[in-house]
Amino acid sequence: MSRLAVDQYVYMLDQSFDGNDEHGLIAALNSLQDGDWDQPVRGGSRTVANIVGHVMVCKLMYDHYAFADARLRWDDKLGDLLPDFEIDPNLTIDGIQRPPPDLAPTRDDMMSWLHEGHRRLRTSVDRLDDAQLVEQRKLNWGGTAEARWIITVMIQHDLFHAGEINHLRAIRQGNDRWAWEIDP
Amino acid sequence: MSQSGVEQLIYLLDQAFDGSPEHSLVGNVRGLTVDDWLWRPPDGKRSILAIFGHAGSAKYLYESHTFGDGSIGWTHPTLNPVPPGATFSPELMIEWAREAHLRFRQSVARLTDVDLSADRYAAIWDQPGETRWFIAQVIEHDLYHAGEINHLRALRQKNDDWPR
Repeated sequence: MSRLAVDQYVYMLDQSFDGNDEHGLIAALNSLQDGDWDQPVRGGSRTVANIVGHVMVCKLMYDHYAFADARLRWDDKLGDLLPDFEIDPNLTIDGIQRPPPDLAPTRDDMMSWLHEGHRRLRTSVDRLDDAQLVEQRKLNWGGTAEARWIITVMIQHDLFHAGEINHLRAIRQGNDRWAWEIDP
Repeated sequence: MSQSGVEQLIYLLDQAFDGSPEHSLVGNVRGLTVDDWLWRPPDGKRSILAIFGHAGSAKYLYESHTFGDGSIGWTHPTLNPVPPGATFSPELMIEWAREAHLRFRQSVARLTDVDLSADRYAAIWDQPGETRWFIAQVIEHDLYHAGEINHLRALRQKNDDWPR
């Protein structure tokens, strides 16, 4: 069974998450300063915490539907999706994308769940062979799609939101310009 | 000679440039007005035009330095999307970026799977790396800047929220 194609997807999953020092999701999160995590910019609404909640829960739900038993819904408890973690029982899967202040998890907790989401998705993809990339898999909003399309969306998702986080951070830190315009 | 891995990277390249309506570079500028392209947020310096232009220019450069003769530098006329005498338009920018994408795509399509793990050196990064690493940079670059553009657009259009 060939895995030449699967290997490229696993490689790109890792690159987009924490393999690329400039454009990866973890690199964008490592560039935050105090206050950047939970404050929107002027005229904006979403915070970095909201975006991380969205990315994290999408990793878990895409994996749960495409590669697991697809039994959870967006209004179920987040703790049902992450049973090995201590999570407020009032927090729903959907709600983590914009939790009320009294339910907002700590940054450390969110980062742990984000890493768990990546670990699960990566493990699921790494079990595939090339022929399985074009198999139909379940989607969390109904219907099915080729496995490779679902994996591609997850690769795109990390990078796209890393860019959003960087723009938000740059505006907050007052250095929204290219690196060569900042460095001496 | 196998191209299974190469074909997947081309798929990812195409999806990142114009394949995904939600996350691709072109998908995030489609339908924007000239004013949207030129607007800058109160505390920001870069416009959508600046970010999109950077993404397009980088692809011409990366192709030239990774697969070509390395003759395209940051001041090369190819990197000016608006020819002398022409006026900026979103359509002109997209077609200019599409030409860069096609060049890069064609260079990748000439590779085999064995080539992907072969080391090459590109002066623009001043470091050697696996060929697939250089391709990954380009895929990542389009998507990352598409995300920046989306955040900028959301500020401009005052709808910075999750779609319902």
